[in-house]
Amino acid sequence: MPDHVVELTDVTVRVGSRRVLRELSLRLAAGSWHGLVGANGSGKTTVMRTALGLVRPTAGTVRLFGAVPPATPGLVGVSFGPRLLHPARRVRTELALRVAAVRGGPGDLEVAWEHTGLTDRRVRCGALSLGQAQRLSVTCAMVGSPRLVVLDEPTVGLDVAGVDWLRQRLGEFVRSGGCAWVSSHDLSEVERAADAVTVLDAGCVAYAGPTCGLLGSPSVVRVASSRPAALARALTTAGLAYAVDGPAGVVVHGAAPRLVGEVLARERVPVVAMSAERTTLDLAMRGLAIRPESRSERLVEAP
Amino acid sequence: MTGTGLVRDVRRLTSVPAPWVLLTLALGVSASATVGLATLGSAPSSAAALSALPAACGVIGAVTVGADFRFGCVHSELLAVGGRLAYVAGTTRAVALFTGATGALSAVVALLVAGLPTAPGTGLDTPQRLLLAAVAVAVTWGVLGAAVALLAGSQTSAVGVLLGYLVLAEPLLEATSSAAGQLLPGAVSATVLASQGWASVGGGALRLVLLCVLALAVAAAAMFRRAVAVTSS
Repeated sequence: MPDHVVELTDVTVRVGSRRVLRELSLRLAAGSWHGLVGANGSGKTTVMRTALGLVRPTAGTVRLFGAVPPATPGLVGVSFGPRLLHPARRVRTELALRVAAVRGGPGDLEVAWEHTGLTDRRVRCGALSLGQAQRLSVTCAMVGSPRLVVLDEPTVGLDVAGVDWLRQRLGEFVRSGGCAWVSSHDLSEVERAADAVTVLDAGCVAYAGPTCGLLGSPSVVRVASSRPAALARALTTAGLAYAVDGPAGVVVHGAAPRLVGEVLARERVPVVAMSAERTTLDLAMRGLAIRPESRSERLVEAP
Repeated sequence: MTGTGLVRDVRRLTSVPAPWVLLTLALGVSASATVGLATLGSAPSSAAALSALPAACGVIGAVTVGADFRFGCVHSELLAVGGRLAYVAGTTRAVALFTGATGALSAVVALLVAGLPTAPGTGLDTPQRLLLAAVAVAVTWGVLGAAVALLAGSQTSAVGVLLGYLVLAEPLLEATSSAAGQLLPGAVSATVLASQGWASVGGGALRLVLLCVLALAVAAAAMFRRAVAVTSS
């Protein structure tokens, strides 16, 4: 049994003269929920395609379950979007084809049908709403017993109940030993659910590791005072970095709330409001070191 | 290639309306051409009765395989069956089966409407030969259509290239070189449909099989190198 479900080592993907991925290394373990985030054009979908064997790397090695991709049928389920199904085909038939591909039985078809939440057995894929199509696409990816599920923006189009359904399904899947690899712009969802996260920037890994390692402890403290000048003086004297936040307030970066409170008490600065905020994934991503040279090249998706 | 896989591939192809519409079109042309010739007082002709078969079957192959590219289904199907070559083999055999059936049905329609082989000097002299010729031509063009779609990676381009070749390119090539008629699929198909002996039907069918193998090899090589998109076109 291989140590990692997905293993990319020094992978470079070129499209023409452009490098879409640059010496990228990444490892995903079984039984975990991996988030993949990054700006548009940072290479998220291309990384997934490369790992699945849909794109051949220019350099580097790709291993899927310890072997060169594609994987054995049934091991991997994918959803790259809600509208990538033949619109004229019936939903039931689409599911039946997926079940047949993994050599499942009628019971598997009924289970999959239940998960779509649809009632009209004759409905065609093209007649579904965006949310229904997204749910069908995720259901198709999870037909049978895959050990890796790759989902690209799976929350797009889903309502609150749909997001809950997705969270529950992926949670059960991960608890049963599966590996969920989810690319998303919904950073709060990744922050909430992912055990580990990879942040891509211009085809490079800017961060890869536990989600908590990226977020860290609360590090932003907002303070408002009736004497803003005294507040600013006290923080400057204590050597704390801050930014003005409105006429009476500041935002203190990189200091624990307790330290800020002690400084202000010592200097007898009246405080009218104070709150500590946890670093969000959004803020953490903005704070990641971006290689200057990587910004000089406009990236495109591989065809 | 298991039986289960074959059934699945055929079900996948036949679960959308396009191939059925084209099959109906081929049968309609076969019947109406036969009736039309009879109305005009002309002798029935197998070549005329089955004249739409190459175009109809070619478009069936191009439309059904091209739909995977058009609707962005290639990646999921490719991963479901285990790779590029399995995908090429699965889709092509389903197209071959469906277009073969289309050819056989078209031949049956021509036989029922005009009793073609029984009319002296008007085409194949036995129903079996007409059937073989129609199936060989239909399968060839179905596979060629599928191969063009795999090469082009686009449904619209595949249909355009196929019909453009049949209507414009091949007649021009034939006009340029008479020797080319021995090799070009349209000319070979016409020869096979108009043949009157087992030897010429068999020889023509063999050439068509070789054309299929060549087209499939080129398409498989192109597919092997292709970066598979995960978007619709």
